Amino acid sequence: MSDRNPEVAARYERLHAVFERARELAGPERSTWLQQACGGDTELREEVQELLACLESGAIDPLSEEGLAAGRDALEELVGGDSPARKGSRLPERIGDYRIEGFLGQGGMGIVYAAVQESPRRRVAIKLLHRHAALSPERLRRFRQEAELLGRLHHPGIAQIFEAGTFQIDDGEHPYFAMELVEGVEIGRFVRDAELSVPERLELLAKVADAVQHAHDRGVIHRDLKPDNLLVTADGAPKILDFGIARESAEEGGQAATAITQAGMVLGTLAYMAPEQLGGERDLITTRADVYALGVVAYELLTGRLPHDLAGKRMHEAARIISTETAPSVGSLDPRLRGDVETIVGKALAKEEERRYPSAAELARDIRRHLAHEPITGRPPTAWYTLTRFARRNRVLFGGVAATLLALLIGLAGTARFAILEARQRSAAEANAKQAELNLARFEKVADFQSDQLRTIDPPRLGVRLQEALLESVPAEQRAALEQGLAGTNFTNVALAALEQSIFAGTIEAIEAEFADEPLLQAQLYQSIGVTLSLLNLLERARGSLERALAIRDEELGPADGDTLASLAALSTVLRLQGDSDEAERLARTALDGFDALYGGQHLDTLAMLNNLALIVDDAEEEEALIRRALEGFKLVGAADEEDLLTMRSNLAMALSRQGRSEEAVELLREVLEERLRIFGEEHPGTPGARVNLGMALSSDDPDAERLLSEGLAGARRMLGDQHIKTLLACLELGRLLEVIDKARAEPYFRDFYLGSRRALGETHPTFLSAAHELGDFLRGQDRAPEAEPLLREAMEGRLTIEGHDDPATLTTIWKLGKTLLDLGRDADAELYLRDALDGRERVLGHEHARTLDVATDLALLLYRQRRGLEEALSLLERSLAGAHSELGDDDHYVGLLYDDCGRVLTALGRFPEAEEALLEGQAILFEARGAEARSTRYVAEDLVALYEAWGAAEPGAGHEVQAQQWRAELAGR
Amino acid sequence: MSTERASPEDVTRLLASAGDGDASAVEALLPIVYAELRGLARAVFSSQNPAHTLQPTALVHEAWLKLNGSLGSIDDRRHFFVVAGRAMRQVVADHARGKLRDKRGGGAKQVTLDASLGKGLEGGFDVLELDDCLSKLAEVNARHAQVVELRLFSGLSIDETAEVLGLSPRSVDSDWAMAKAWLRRELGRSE
Repeated sequence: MSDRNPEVAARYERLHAVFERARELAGPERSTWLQQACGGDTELREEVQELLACLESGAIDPLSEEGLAAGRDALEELVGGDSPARKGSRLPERIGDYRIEGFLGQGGMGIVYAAVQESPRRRVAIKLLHRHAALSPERLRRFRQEAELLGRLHHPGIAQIFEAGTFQIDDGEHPYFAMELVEGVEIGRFVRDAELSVPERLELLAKVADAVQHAHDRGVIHRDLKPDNLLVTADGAPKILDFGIARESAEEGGQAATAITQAGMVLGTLAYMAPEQLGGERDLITTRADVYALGVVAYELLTGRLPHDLAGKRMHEAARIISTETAPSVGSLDPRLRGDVETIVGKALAKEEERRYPSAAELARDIRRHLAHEPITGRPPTAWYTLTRFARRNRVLFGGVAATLLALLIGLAGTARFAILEARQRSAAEANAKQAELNLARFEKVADFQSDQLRTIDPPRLGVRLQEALLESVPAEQRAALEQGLAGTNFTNVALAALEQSIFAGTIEAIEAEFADEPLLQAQLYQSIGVTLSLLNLLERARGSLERALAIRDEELGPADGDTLASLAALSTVLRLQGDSDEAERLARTALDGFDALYGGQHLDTLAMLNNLALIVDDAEEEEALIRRALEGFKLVGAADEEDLLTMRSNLAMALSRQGRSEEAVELLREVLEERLRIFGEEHPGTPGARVNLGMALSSDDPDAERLLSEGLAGARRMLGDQHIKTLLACLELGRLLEVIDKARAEPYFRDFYLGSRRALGETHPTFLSAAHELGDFLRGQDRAPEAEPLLREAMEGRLTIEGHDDPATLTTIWKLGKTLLDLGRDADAELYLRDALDGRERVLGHEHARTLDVATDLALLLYRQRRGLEEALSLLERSLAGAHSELGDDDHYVGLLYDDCGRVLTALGRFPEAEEALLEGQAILFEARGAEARSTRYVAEDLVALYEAWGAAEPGAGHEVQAQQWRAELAGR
Repeated sequence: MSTERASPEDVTRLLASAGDGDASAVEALLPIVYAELRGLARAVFSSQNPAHTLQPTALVHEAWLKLNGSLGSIDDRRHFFVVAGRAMRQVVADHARGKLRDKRGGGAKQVTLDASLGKGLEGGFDVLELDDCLSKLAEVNARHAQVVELRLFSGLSIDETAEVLGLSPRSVDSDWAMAKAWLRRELGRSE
């Protein structure tokens, strides 16, 4: 649209400008403004005045506020506008065989009269419908049919419909229904007046639901259930009015009337309509719409309010609210309704039909189960439900993945069945077993390809994206609150649960059922799905599948067959991931021997098995040997994936590093990084990991270490997201490095690791527990024991549950917690934990293990501090000292410190000569290792002063006072 | 003008394009909405009720529900109201010109766009004159004409109109006052 006449348009603009200001002014101010704005242009001024007069004329026309308001109201009035009642308030004398006695009321659908039937003589209610388009013979026939159907509803809870007919008013035939006249009060008023308890209200609702079910069983849907249609008689029995009439009414509306305009005349009715009723597609409405309405009624009877506040809302806004907004749970309004009742009402009110109770009977059953304190069938929404609901709204994000998966799996099963059928037909026709085998091989290829596709799914990443999208879907101001609320939700698990429940569980069932006659094919499918499951970390299910595959193949093919060995290998991997190293190792060795015997040492399967076994074995030297054999073999055969080879070399570097051969490890990791960059480039998800590995292997004083870890972390954040396990581990490594080189900057990384792993992995995940431990231990090292304690406790409790008491990690946390309590001065608690840790490590690692001795030393210091159990303290320290000697050599700084500790305990025991010997030894070692100025060297000097003072006091005159003086001078002189 | 029924998907797609500023989508929508409104209007007019009261807002809302099949997104609805306001104006005018009249209905009777709902308020306009004046207004200020269409034929409030047009409510209020005064003066003149 363009302003075609620029001059006129400009004039109009001018008018508007003057008019605009003038309309806000009055009296002399307005005159002054017009004078000023128009100047000599009297024409302009007159025109503005004319327009102002038009504006302020008070005319009631379509442009007036009244006119517009009337237009807006028109929607609600569209149907009611032509009601027969409006044509005259005079009562008809008779309708059909019924003598009209009085006016009972008027509702959205029509007008209700009290009437008397002559024969049989009874009082009835007559409902005369509004819509009055003349009924065609066809419509009349259908109307009578419908009425007959309604007449078949006989239930004490339903107001009986006696007859339906048509009644001639001046403008045509009006349908009417003659029905049982119910003497009762509206259900809402009844429960209020009778002050029914919650169980009584529920029982009443169950009775209403029974009646609704009766009608549903006979093919009649109410469509307009609401308290107005639910009366309760004096003896407390509910009666439903107007069954099936909403449909008739809607039918009568003709083309122009959709369900919404019909029933939606008043918002009071809209409030009870199921979301699917708002679309206006009458054919889509099922019995579950009535279940929804029952849910709304239940909500209202229990809480006194409607699920959605629609007061003052316009029609389309109200409809939007019903379709999209979730009502507050009844439990949130009244704590008595938490639990079952909340679940039952919530399930009746589900927006998606398929989530609602499938029938009114089910609803009634659950209500009664609850009243009888039996478990109900309705369940609170699960993570899976939340996810699917979410996925429905975010198809691009999630649906794509899930749908792809599903398609692949269906494809997998489909291909399998097709291949079998084809194979069978061919072998039957051609009696050619070879052909059948060929087909099977072809099928296996396809199946392998499809499971390969599945393996590209990355649940942590999927989970992270899920969470991000969820956060984005709420308004910015609610995000923080939601994020907090979700802090305990493990999205990786949610994503996995979705995959597991929606896809894998069904597939496994299908494999079991569909391929029972084809054991080998069944085993092949179990194998495929098992491997896929293990890659997705769904280990328990993977194990089940692989055990089935193994059992079938063992039975059908024997233990030495290549396929049997492949199942063995896959199962060993799963057991390793589940932490059952002994069994994993046993299976892996069996598989390795089997492959070696079957194919020889240079076969791909044998080589892969070498690598797998390397991942299991404890001994770093054997690990190294196995990986080297595998790597050489692969180079020779030349068939391995480049990325796999790089991973194997990284593993080799780790094995070297564990043997203390860090220079070789660093060299190897440098090569791996360079090759990764050359082959895959910077923006490959494996590259940050290679940087982090190298950064970790470098010693902390290498300036490259921090740079590599920082770059690795940045890359992981960028490519994998903040909550990916690799990103989190990079945070940890950088934090650990900074803890050594620049403590002040370390904390944020430990915190990121802690918070991120909680969110991404959940509070029971081993990595999260490590994160809690690491952050707690870091804070402890920063003299922040009060902050450290709760974190270490969190880690300890989790590890006790998940890993068990004797797990090395659990014992470490117990030890660190003991140390923290020591720092806090809570010696009694500290002793408990330290003794527990010591006892555990002695059992698990042995008495002489360095980590056992660490605990022994701490316990000794505690005992010394309390000046009790000094003999025990001494024996602990001597044990530690012996261990340190053999582990670290004679002149290590740490050995010097232990001599010092022994000396102090000996001093306290009064064994002065031995104390002197120990302290002097310690002094010499520390002096050598750290120099005279080191703090630890000075401490030994102070301990020597203390020794000679004590000795002097015990044996005065033996010259010890002088020695004390000499050491004092030594300290002062420096 | 096409009388073919458009599927809700078509409408949704066109609305989305219109929302992205695709003028041709608005053009494509117009006949669809027009056809729907005309059908609805016919149903109303064909009733035996002698008071031919046309209730534009109600028809627009109904047309929305029927065309879209659901309540759709708020954005979709916005563009719908722009198109529907225009289409409704056409329906009303066409009806007045007798195009929609039932063939059996006979004689050309003046149809008024009645603000009242049977209460007999005075001051209805002649629909065709209003239509002419709106066209004139569109020539001098297109936006003001659009504000009137939205207020009068789509039944939107000042705030909703502002939202649809991406203007402040204050400036819509000002536009509306001016347009209303101007239209009343024009309508008064032609009598």
